[in-house]
Amino acid sequence: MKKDKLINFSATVPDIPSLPVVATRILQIIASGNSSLEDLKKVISMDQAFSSRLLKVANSPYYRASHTVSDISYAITRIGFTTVQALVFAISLRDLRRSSNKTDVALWEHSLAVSVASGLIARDLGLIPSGEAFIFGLLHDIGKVVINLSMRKEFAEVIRIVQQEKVPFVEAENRILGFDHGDMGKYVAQQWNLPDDMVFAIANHHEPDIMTEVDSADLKRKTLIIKAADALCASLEIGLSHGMVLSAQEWQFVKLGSAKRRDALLAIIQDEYQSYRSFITGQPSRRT
Amino acid sequence: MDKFYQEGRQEIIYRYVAEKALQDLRDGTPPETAMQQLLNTYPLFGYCRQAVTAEDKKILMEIASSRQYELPMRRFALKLLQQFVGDQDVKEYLRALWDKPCDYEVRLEVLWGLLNYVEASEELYAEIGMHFDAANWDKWLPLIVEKLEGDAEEKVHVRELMKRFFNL
Repeated sequence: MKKDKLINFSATVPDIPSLPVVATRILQIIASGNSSLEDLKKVISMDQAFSSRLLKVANSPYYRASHTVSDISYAITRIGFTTVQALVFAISLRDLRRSSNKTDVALWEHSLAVSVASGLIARDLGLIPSGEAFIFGLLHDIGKVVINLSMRKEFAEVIRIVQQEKVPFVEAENRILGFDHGDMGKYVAQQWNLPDDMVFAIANHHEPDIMTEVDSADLKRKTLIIKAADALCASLEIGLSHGMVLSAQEWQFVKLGSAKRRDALLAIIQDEYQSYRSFITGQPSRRT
Repeated sequence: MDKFYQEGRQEIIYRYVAEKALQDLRDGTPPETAMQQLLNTYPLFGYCRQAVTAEDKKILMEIASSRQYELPMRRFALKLLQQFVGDQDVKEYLRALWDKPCDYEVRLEVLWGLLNYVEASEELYAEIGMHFDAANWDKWLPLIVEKLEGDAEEKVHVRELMKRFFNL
């Protein structure tokens, strides 16, 4: 389980921009004149930038709410539908001006794929509500996104090491930065007042000792679903992940002990991911 | 019974005002400023949209383009044109209007139309982002809230959230 590192992440967490293609889709949906809560929720739920932005706002002390939320519908209800529409419209206009590179796109694709995979594992196995798993999966690598935004050069070096030496991201990050995306993700998630279980899963989805060190069955389930989803998407080569390994015991815990079952799930993940991706980009499905 | 009677009466009034406003436009006599403001609000605008026909496109385009008309009138014309965004002439018209310098009130309505064209180029979207820049947010942000039917309180709320959380 991740121990707190004495790292000074004192800088303000940057606003995470969405990709122009996502911003465009949001503008189109709102301007279509008949955008419902469901349409808006659907597109926001597929984007780590907009999801994290709304959760950050909804969970801030500004709303004086007694509990934190991890569900986008609750966040929209708390903030108000018209206000959310106006906010995401205005922010999308700004995001159109921001440039994005291949890494931004790869991180977005990976987060979407892990989100889809987490939802599928949770739904099929009835471990936790699939909507909750979906958002946990979407934000699991938020630490990578922030590192990529605030330390572009260093993160490019991390990617180079991962690709050339075939080592896991956390190893390369610790070598170059002295911390990994789990550390950064935990810091960011705490700054945004995300729920504790989500903070835990974001921080620990790469840790090898979840089975032995975590007492809470709920935390164990949520973290291992993300870990399993991450590993499945890495095997599909969606995004930049590499070298994700789960123990037999961990696969068993998420009821994916059989390789045959995992293979069947991989095919579904690939199809659903492509369909979600097409919904945003407007491009026909393609095999990665 | 009284309530039903009242609603029926209001329905007739709205329908009459909408028809009258459109007839005035066709006759080349735009309504007074106060009336123009009212035409842009719901439910009256909904009745106007119902009364407009494809034959009105030409006059609506003329009004929306002309600086001789007041902004509420031009907005009203552009809002009515929205239902014809699928027509090629309206599409070309909106694209041409976008390229001309205009106030945010007009530009936002044009944008609303352009966003219907999924095949619009990346360059156009980049331009859209440039036009709605941070330097002028105080001009366009309240208009967006208004466009989404938010009230004065929501305008303040959205502005506060944008400043507090998104460094606007």
